[in-house]
Amino acid sequence: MKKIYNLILLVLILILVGFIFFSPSYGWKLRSYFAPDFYGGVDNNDLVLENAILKAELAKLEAVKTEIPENRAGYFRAMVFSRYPMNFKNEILVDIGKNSGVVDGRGVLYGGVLIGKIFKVFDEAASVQTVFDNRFQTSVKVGPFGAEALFKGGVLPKVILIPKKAVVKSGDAIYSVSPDYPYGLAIGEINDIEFSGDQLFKEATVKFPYDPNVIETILISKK
Amino acid sequence: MRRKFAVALLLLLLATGLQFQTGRITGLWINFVFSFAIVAALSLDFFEFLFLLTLSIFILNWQPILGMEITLVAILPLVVFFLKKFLPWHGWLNNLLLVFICELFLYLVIAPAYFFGNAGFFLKDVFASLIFGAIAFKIINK
Repeated sequence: MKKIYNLILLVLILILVGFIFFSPSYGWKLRSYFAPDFYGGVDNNDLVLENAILKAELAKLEAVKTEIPENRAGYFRAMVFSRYPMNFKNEILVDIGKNSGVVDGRGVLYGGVLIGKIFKVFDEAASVQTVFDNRFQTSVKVGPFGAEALFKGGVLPKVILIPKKAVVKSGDAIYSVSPDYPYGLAIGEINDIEFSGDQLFKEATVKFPYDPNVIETILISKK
Repeated sequence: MRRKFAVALLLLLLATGLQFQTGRITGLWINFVFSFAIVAALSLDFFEFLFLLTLSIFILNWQPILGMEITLVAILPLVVFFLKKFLPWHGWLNNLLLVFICELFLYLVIAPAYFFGNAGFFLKDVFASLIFGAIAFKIINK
């Protein structure tokens, strides 16, 4: 009897191993039953997101004033498959990959706001490193005067290396100026500002116009 | 199906639900499933443990390939299973020590920078994992 019991378990183990290596998407579907979206989807965030985008747009136009090529059409739409289930990283997996033309390093948007970049590309999926990942960083400008700074990702992301004399205040828009992403994408807003440890720069915490845990659909920049 | 195994299976489902719900609500991902796998290694027969460990990996694996952390989540409980007969203390103490040591090992190997930069998150994770592990151990071995 014990032998039959163990044999049944062994067969089940082999089936599970097969799923893990050849059809992991069944595991992702199973996970979704354990963490259903009970926030009511993205609609609740729409106004906040729109506000952040408009602020960034305004700051960008005031800072640069010259005409900037605007191209929001060149994006892939993708659905979130699963999320990294531990604390060490902040990554999400989306449902399109190499076969759809997704390329490593491209910017990823949620409701028009930059939320991360493509980190790893698989045939039919891609991993997105979000702005809440410790390893994420990008050059940004802040506020209507376009103060240059560095956005540093993490559990509590920060904008660092803001010049000491730059005029920056709470509520100012933060937008990306990295050549890796389309120019002027909103990231968030300045929250609390303080001087860096060495007193040479200012740094600030960031307020985000969305809840990263409810993201279900994203856009991936094509170039 | 043995009672112990049935209870352990239910606890795995509970651990999975807790891990994903707390992660989604608070943004803090507590390794309940990993903690459960250590408890299962100390409490169950080999094939029962191996089945639940494989099921844990099936649920935790979040991308098409097995990452380093998921591989470690699979290997560490296996090591615990084979080491348990050499451990000198009571089962509950072994359980607490091993959950702590394995969590610490996981953090130090996978993301030392994260560990040193966010010690508070590690402490919250390990504290909740220890409590869950202790309760799960008590229930399975009742």
